[in-house]
Amino acid sequence: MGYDFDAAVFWKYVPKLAAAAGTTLWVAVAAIVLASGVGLLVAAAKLSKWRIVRGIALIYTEFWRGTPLLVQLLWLYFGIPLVLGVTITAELAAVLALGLWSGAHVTEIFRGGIQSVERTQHHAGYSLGMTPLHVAWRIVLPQTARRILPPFVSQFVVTVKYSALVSVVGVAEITKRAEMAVVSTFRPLEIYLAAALVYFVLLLAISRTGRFLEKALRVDALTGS
Amino acid sequence: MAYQFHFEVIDKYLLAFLHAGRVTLTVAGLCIGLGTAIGLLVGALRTSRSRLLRGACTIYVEAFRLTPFMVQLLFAYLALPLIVPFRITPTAAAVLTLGLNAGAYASEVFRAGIQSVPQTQMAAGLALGMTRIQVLRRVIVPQGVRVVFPAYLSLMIQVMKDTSVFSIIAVPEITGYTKYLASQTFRSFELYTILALFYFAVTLTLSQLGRLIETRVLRTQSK
Repeated sequence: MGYDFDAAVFWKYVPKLAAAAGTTLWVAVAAIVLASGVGLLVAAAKLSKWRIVRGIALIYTEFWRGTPLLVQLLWLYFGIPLVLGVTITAELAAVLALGLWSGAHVTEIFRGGIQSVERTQHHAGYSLGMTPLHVAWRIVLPQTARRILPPFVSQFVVTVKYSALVSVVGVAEITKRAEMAVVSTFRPLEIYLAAALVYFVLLLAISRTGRFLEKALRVDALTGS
Repeated sequence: MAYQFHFEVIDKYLLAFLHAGRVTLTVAGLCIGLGTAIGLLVGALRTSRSRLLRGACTIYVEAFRLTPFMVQLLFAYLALPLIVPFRITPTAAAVLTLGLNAGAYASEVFRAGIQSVPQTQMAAGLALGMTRIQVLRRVIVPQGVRVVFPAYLSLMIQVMKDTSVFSIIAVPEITGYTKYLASQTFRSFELYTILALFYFAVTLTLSQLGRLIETRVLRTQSK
């Protein structure tokens, strides 16, 4: 009502915020790499013979999935350094928080994928004289990889989306840059629309790439390599 | 020097902390209600025969699913008041945004539920002289509910957790209040740990309640 939309501001900030997408992606990729490592480890722990190992893994996934990412981030950035008597950069806190949070979700994806390979295939491997590690590497993981790709890509999309929260601790990614621009121009409408457009294109591109990869891998499966 | 824990710092502020917790539960309940209503409506509309309706719903769902909730919230709080002719309080803006966000995700869950019931049942219902709405309500939905309940439940737990983002605008909920306390007392570790435990208790209760509904009310086979 009576507000004139300044298209020039909108178009000026689209490329500026797209440049900040580099930081968003950098944080999200580092986080998903960490999440994959954590996920693999915790998924293995969840399938362990020992009850205590399974228990610890369960506590980790339940706790990280049962609390908000924002609270985990505040805890890691403001709380933990006090206890340890260290200082931590905002970027490190952001990657740790996103990675550990995403790791709890990735654990469930990995576990589901590993369990989807029938036990008979493990037995077949053993009867051929393969070691457990060999069975895991040559038989279970290649099949798991194809099956977990779709949920893994969605988890990456979710990680990029929730990385907007790390602007709270001051990491200069898309959302933080947008906030800074709003403070200096007083044009929230144009600038947040520009930020939304940048995220929309980025997330659409990632999910489309994921779908393309899925198809590529399916062809692989058919040719048997 | 080892860190001295002082969890008792919360004692003095316990009443206010719990009051903020009640605000969190209230706004989460409102968002869940709004999200469910919108999700049901849009989920049904996305299976409609009108291309225009389907298209409009797709745009709404994708716009909310492919942008971060935090950006949506900042937009609703700072940009929306510029273009609407009435005042919006921070809490109203927050509940509306999270409700619309949840609605977009919920509509996908519900659509999957509707589509999980064979199309032939719609044809059978129509052949018996029922209207589309009647078939949806009496035939499709009762079956779809069992299919969608687990996904719906985890979505609503997600909504509950997302209310923590309200703390970036001036909603007097529990994360924002804890941030304020931390800045007053410098007991960030203790306070954020207590805050995490609060959320954990709530989400655990919700998921256990959900499991109870699944086994007792819906009588779906649970593993």
